[in-house]
Amino acid sequence: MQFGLNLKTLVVIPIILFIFSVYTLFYNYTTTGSFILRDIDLKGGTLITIETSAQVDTKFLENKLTEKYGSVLISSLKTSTGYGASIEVDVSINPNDVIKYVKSLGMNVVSFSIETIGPALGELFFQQIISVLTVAFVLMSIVIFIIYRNPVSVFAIVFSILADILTTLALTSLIGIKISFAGLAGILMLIAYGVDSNIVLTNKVLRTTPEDFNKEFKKAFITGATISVTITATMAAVSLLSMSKLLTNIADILVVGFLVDLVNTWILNSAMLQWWVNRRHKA
Amino acid sequence: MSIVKDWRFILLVALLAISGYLLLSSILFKSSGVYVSFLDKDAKCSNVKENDQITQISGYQIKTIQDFDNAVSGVKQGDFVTLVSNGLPANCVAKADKNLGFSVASLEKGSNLKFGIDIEGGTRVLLKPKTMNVTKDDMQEIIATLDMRINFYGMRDIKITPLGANLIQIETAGGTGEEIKEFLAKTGKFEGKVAETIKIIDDTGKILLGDNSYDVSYSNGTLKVNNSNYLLNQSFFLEDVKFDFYNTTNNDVLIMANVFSGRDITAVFTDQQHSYIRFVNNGYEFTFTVQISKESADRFAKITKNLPTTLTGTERHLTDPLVLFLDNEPVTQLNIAADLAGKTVNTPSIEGFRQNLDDATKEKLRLQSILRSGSLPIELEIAKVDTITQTAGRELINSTIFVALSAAIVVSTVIFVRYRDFKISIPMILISFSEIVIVLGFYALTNSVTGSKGWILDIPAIAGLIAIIGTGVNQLIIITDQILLEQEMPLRSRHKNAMSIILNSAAIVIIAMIPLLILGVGALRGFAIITIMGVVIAILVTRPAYMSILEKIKKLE
Repeated sequence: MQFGLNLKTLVVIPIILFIFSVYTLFYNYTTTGSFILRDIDLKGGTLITIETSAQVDTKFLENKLTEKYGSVLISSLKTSTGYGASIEVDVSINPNDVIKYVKSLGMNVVSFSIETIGPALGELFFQQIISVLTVAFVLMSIVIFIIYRNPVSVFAIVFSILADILTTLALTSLIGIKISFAGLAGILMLIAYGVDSNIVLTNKVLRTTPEDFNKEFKKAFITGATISVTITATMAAVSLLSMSKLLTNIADILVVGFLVDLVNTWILNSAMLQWWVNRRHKA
Repeated sequence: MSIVKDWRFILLVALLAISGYLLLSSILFKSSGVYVSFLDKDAKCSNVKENDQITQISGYQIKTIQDFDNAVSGVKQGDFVTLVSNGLPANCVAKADKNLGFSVASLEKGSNLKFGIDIEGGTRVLLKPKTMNVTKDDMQEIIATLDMRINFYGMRDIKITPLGANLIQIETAGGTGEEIKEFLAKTGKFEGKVAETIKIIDDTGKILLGDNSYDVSYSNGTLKVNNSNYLLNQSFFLEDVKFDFYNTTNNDVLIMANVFSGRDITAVFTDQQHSYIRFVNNGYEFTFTVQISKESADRFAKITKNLPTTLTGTERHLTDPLVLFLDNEPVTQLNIAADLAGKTVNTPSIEGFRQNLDDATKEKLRLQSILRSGSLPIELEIAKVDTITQTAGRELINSTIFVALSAAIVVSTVIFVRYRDFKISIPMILISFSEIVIVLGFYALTNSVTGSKGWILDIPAIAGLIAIIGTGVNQLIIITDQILLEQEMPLRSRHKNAMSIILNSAAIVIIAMIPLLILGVGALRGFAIITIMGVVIAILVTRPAYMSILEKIKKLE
């Protein structure tokens, strides 16, 4: 069997993935009121990050804090001492009281940071993400149109990128990755990197003949796969090693996004281009 | 042609050398120390002022913020602590545990890389107007007022940036947030005084007030009014007007008649009808109206009635100006039109002229803000507070450097596995690395030419550096594959193809980042700037250089 021959059958995978993603985003919206899992800076609240000298018993801490302050969210954290936790509480609660209380529970808090965001501001940030993303997407589409001026390849790239974004957002919400404001940088990079692999593919196969399609596709795939593997591996390293929430969020989104982009570029976009090359040759 | 004669290669080496110098010079010539960035109002310190350099606490040498933190870590509330401030002995009674009543920041003269507060430690506050429907003009005024406070109170470590349409970000390095709260509450004592120069001939002169004239005498630094003696900076009353004995020159005595205080300014109009700028001959004239109390309007009429006038250009005005004071410091002066002298005007308008529109706008806002005693036109509320301790910031930067190195190792490994040729992978990695150096060099340059007021390296900017490694490696892989795998094509077309792909990809990166830069989302600005800069440097310098290296190594010519 020749490489790339099965594109017509394989294209079912990205299409199902796309429909599933759109469904997931709408399901999220109807059940939670938000398409994605928003991090604290996009929904409002207070985030206290503590670094401790010993392992934090998150279950115990969560019980104690919930008892005193109502609903709190706790997760353990990587820090330089190796131990820490992030505590999410309502905006109305004084974070210094929480830290005092945590200390009174016998925990040795080495250092801490506090982040408070009003709910209205969170909403504003969220709206800014939507508008920046929309403008970036439209501008990107225009540039792609100027570069190729061929309706099929332009549509193929723009649709692949749209699928990249929606599927990435849907998958992050399923895996439990919260999107913070910094995530915007990750999604913008996903657009930029995603277009790269699509450009490599399009430039190679657009002017080829049906007979040469597989050969050219293979060349493009080698380059594209190298790019994807490099960036995915790099971002996985950043995600695993970084102590910065901001970097981790960007890296998480890019790792998911790049796996998604592999499917969308090399199956969805390729299938559309192959169809176009065949059709043009017949005509 | 040898590689050292190739312009693409020469350009890269030259830029690397310049960047390297800018970056290293900041490390080599760095002066160390800490200075008082903020003194709390209730601090019990003697001989400690803001901006003083602190060199010793309880006998410990203080060179870095870490030293300072260590020195105060054992201090308990109420402790008497001795220090050396600006080389002189000083002391403080600790306000609370680990708190001497002031914050410090590091003194980094000659440092070309400025780090954000997410790395240096500090507080970042986002402010939002309390009322809805705030206009662009309102926001401009708020920013102008805050800027005026910074300049006036010399708070160099508070940084204000407007974010989007109705948010203001205030940052302070190495502080606890106390500074920002006090900063927001800060208003000054406003006074407006009319100057009057008294010619002294044979030790005597005259003060004009309304229709009256008072004889005074002056000798040996003493001004004699109504048989009482006054020294410089003392005040005296004539009728109901307070005069300050302000200055002397050889033949003149300068006095100031107090006309307005903050209470007398009942309104500063900012609506378009009462506050505007218009184009006049070769420049811009701004005008705005203020409303003043009846007593001060009467006082103004009386004081100015018979004062001498002068002609400047076509405009006749009082010889001596109206001087505006904030907290006893003269901040600006205005000419009083001659036709206003002796008149009771309850809503005087203030005019000024500047060569360009921007300066006229700024000056108008500054004057309005001074007249309001520096109080804000609209109340602000705190919408978001981030506090990062210095240690947390330092740990973050250390871990981030580690992350960046790991990323570099991962990239190198993948590239080596893919090409299995050191001759290709080593130049690739070096080129990627040189992009980072040049971008950082550029950052350093912005700080070196502006005296540390250039771009700031914060965590989003570091995310941008990692993104540059990503786009950089992307493009290097594309170039390598185009040039090495398409052997049947002539070199020139392979070249062209590779360049066309990376130009397209660069255009997309830039276009995707522009909304982030323009739509006012300040938090990720550093990320956008670095990414765009990286791509531009890549297209202009490092990609062409890589192509030249690759061709030489693979002997493709």
